[in-house]
Amino acid sequence: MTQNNSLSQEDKFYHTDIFETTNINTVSRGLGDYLQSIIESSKFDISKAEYEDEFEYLDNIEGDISTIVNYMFAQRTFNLNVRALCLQKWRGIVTDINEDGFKAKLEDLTNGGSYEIGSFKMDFVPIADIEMFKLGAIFYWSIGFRTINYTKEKFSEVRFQRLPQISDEDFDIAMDKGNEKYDFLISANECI
Amino acid sequence: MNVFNKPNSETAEITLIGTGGGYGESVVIHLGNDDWVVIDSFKNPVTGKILPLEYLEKIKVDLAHVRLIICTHWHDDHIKGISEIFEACKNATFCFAKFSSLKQFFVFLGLGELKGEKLSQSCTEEFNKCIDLINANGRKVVYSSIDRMVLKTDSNNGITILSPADATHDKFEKKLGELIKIGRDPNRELLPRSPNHLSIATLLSIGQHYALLGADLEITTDKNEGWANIIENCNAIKSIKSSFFKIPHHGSSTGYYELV
Repeated sequence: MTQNNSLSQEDKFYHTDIFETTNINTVSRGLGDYLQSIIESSKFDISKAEYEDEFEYLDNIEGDISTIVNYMFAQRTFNLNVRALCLQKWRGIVTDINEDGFKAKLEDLTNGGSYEIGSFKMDFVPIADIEMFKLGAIFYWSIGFRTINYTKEKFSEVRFQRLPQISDEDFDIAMDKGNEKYDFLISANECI
Repeated sequence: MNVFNKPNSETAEITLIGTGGGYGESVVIHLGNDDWVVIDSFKNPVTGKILPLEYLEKIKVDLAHVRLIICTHWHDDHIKGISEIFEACKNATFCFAKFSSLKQFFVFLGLGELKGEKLSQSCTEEFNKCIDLINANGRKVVYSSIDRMVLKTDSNNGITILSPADATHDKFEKKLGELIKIGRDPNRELLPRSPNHLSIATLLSIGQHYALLGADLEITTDKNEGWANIIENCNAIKSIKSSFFKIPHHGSSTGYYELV
């Protein structure tokens, strides 16, 4: 098991969701007893010996015990020992669509510099994002390595941008701003 | 000749920056007597520097002598950094195309500003900044219209507008609704589409010489638009011969019109 002394906010949130029940009052009995109770309730599929072997370091970790146990529980039960290393990321805009696929203007988010034009087959678009696929659509393409349960594999992921639509209220604000600028421009400035 | 020497007051100079590279285009003009004009702007994709501004600073031009900045159209490769040039050149007048649906276009700009604030970058951001400079600081603006001389210097050198055509303005009004719809979608960006009929082409007159600067103006089947309209209807180019022609649209075949 990997020792992880600090969890991201995302991890904490996610694992809080997974963790079913815990009697926080058991914390008062000490970390060892607390974990022991979890094991005994069969939420962990490890033996007592494995627990003693792997979790002894927890006695030295500072932090919210329920968070730490959440993380361990999630890892063990759902095999969520996942790490990803993104080596290259592009921001793409669909510029042309044809029968075989599409072209996109790609901005290199990793190294900067000028843009490139790429040609892609339609199966490049994830099925879940088909509804977002249209001319001008923005997507992010990431390439790297991912480790799942200690097995390393390459990944190439595409996700189309899904920001919330501009509300009617925001549209009205934009319209009012635009009108205001126009009115001021026409009335207040000299034209040569 | 060192390209980074400032021309003397009696030498007119047209400096083309970027034009064939595909990343952007700008033209810096010395009309003589330290009167300067900048047409369009773009950034070095690697360094992020605004290239026409960098050039002016390199040849040690007093930016207060930049008289006019023309924004030929609002595509990315012609507008990036133009607001910073406009801000730096405190005495420059800003020139852009005015059309009947300009008020609606400002709604489109408003959406672009909203996107820029909250969601994603947009080329309209540059245009918005220029408008803000005009409104906030009383900077001058001049609108382009065909045959209008937007700048005339003391030595009678000047710049005359050749496009866009009136028919183009009318068509654009109809397209604005579609633009606003796309502008409202935070997950889409506007694509620069041919033909670029809205692009401002200009005629430079310096003494007895003329230079035709094509920006991104393209040809079209409609004789009331594009280069056909200029040849047919522009008085400024009748009975003159240019000794210099900046090929339109980065050398694309769509910018070639035989009668030019």
